[in-house]
Amino acid sequence: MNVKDSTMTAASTAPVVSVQRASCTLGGRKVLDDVSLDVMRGQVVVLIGPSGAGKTTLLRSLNHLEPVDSGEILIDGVPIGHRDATSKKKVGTSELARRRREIGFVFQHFNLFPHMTAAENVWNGPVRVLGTPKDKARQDALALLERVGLADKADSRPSQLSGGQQQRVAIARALAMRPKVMLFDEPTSALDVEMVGEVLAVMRELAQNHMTMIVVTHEMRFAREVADRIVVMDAGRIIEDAPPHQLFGHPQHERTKAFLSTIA
Amino acid sequence: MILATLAGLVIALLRRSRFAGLRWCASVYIWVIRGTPLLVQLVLIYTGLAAVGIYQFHDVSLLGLSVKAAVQAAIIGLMINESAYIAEIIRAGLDSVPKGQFEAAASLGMKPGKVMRWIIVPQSLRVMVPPLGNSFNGMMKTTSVLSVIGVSEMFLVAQSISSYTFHTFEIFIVAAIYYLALTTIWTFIQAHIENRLARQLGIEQRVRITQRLLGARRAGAPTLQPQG
Repeated sequence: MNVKDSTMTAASTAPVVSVQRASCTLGGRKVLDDVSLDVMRGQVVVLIGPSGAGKTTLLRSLNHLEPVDSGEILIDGVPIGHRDATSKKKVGTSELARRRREIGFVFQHFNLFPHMTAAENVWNGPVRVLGTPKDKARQDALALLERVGLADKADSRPSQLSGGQQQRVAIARALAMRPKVMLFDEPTSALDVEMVGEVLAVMRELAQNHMTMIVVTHEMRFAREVADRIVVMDAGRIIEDAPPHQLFGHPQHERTKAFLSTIA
Repeated sequence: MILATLAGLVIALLRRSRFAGLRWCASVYIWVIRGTPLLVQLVLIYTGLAAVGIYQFHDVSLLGLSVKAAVQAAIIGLMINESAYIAEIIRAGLDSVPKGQFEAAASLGMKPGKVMRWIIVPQSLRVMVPPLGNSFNGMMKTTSVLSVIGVSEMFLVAQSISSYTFHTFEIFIVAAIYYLALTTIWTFIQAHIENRLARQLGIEQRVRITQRLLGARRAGAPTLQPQG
């Protein structure tokens, strides 16, 4: 699969995602408070923390769905919201669109396009944005659907699919753009318990193939087994950042201990 | 009607513009046009503009057809009037699409124009067609107002016939039947469009014409948002 090649060949040591002193205020509340975070190529980072800690805001700020008030967010060295690293000029809508191609986003509520079939949902992006010929894009889409285990659902509408199936189509849709990084915003929170596993399995496979991923989730087993790093947020700040065995074994911060005990 | 829909679309898009000035212009336009009667607007456009010497409509010939001055004024007047209402219908339609759809499209790297064209408009059409149909239906009957500026439409013709035959009742019954026939044809077309849009969304919905006209119940009206 091509998606895996593009992530494996690059041997650069520069971070794919670099958040530098980002702050963001929403509705008078500081949801991001001087956050800095670097994610290297191929890394899987899981964001955890109590609700309202700013995990989702941080994730959304990475592709400018939630612009930050101060600080800088670099995707592969390019600032997402500004023209270049030195200027404070805001980027135009078409340039922003171009930069967003690099970033795959998977939503809690899937947000599939209801007027398209599963396959159309997947090839729509490459055709409309990248200008990929339809035949090629359709073939790729079918391959991607097969990768997420839904080859037989290519012609189904989102309304005919279960939640878990919809989310897997959404992952395929994001992958079709060959992103440098995949962001997952609580991808299993809206699912019935029996469908969580099938979505996590797809994400596990991506991680094994060295996709760079940032995942907001409450699935601690997934975090423990798949993540390279676990980042704990609380009240808009990153309070701890460690490999899973260390974080779950010897949490340093009191708040981390408190949070882990509530979900254990 | 087509002109009005296009103008309405432009105004609705202006209202969503990034620039406050354009949004303001569109809002004022809608406010003024919806706040004044069509009758007054028509007289202003046809007679008023000529009276103050801004513009006078002349007969022109278009593709071999002569288009009367009053007809031009009527078309423009109806377009202006109708576009303000249609702009509001379109706005409601666009607002009916959940925010997540914009975000999903944006996160794929689609530019705003493409987001509208491929993601938002196809979904909002289904919401917009019934009120647009209303508007169109109303407009066909509103043509009777055009008699004021001397467009020889059905009402004026009926009136002149009745004034020398004195068969007022019969003639206006016939006129009413004509209006009904026109709007009925539109009802058929609208049902066809709605069924097609529903099929595009994978919804099994067949509104039969008889149901449409005689008001039969539709069990379990389908909803547009399958995702939870």
